Amino acid sequence: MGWLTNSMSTSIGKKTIQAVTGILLILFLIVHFAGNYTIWGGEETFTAYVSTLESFGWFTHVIEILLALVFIIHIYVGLKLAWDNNKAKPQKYEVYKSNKLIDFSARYTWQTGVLILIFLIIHLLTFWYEFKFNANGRELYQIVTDWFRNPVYSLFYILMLITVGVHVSHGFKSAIQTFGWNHPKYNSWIEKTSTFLAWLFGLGFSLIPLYFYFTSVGGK
Amino acid sequence: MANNHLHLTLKIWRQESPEAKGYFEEFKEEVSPDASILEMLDDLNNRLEAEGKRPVAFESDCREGICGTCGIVINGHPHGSLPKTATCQLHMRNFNDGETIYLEPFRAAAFPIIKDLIVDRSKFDNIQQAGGYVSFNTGSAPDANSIPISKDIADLALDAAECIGCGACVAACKNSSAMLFVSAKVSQFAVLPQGQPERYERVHEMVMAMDESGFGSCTNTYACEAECPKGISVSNIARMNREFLKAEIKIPKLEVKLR
Repeated sequence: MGWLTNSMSTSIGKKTIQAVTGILLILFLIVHFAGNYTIWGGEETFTAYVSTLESFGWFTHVIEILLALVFIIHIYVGLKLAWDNNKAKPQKYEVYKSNKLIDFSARYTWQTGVLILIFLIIHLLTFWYEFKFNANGRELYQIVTDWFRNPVYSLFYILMLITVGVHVSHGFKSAIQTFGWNHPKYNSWIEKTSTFLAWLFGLGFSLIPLYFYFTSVGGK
Repeated sequence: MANNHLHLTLKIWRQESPEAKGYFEEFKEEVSPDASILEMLDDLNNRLEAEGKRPVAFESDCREGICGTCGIVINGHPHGSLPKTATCQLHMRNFNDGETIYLEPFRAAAFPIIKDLIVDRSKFDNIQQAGGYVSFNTGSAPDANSIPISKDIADLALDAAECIGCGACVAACKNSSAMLFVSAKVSQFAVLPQGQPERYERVHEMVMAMDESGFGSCTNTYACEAECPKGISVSNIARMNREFLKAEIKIPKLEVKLR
């Protein structure tokens, strides 16, 4: 394994790890997204989906552990890269401009990443932990809709989901570039897929807290 | 003829030595719009020397935009804001009367400041020496065009070979990454038949030399491409990424080559 560790510790190697884990996380988010959207079918459909996942037993746990591993690697390598990159430019410019209007997502990738990490922890504590260990007979549907009644919580969610969108809008096309796939014929498709994923996650996920907050206000 | 000279305020980075603390010194200059930015500095230095003061240290050689020696960060842009223009080719007509111009050296941990606007770019030489060459057998020179190369491949190689190694990519990058430079040097050989014998060893060695030099890694902001005086494309970076990944998978006995 000597050569693989050596290759992956180079700057391009670390970027490759980021790209591979990033794409895996995007795939996970797509599955997560599809699962979440069963909520539009109402409480029964959503609860049925949740219990289907639960019914896989040990298999679900293995997937959870693998997923956690992918997250941890992505976070660790990302922070390591950010740290090293900051060291590579110790003194900043008095005036610093660019001919390219560099999009926010590319410039602040690690910062949006840290925000998403904070969001991930809160997300797991309020949904996953609450459902697994502190449910008191409540179904996940109940926990979710209860939380989204809270305007502060819902607003926080929406802001964080937009952050996820911003992170992914750079992440996807950046991963493709890291794999070395850059071709004038396909670049515009890669760009469009990146933007599509950003809107899918940013807006798509946000519709859930938006809907449940407003229906709870209206239904009072 | 009416005097159409510009009246400028220059804020120039002064630093006595690599260890010294730097600062901005302000100069008021009256300059012809036909002068280049380096000619303006020549004028300023003549005046400073006449006054017995220390002139501003800066680098230049060909002053034709092809050698890559000059390089100043002008108002936050390496080589100034004019696209595809080296510092020496940037003329004062691109500035406005009364403007304040900041002149700073390229900033990167891998490019330590030697004096004022001069930085040490010898790390680029190290990278080039690590693999940026092709092997030839001795004997008479090979016939020109004896190896057929299609036009699009030749264009790719020549576009990459346009890189003058000035270091503006490192200066523009928020991570001080040298990926654009190294990828251009890898690409110009990797696409040509003449570059095949050392193809994978080259990219491996050059990336290793790049990492050892303390450059950051690429975050794909593409600020380098926007500031490059030769317009080197970031598609070269993608090519280097895939060449490197292929090399790591393919080269036998890689451990032996590792430093």
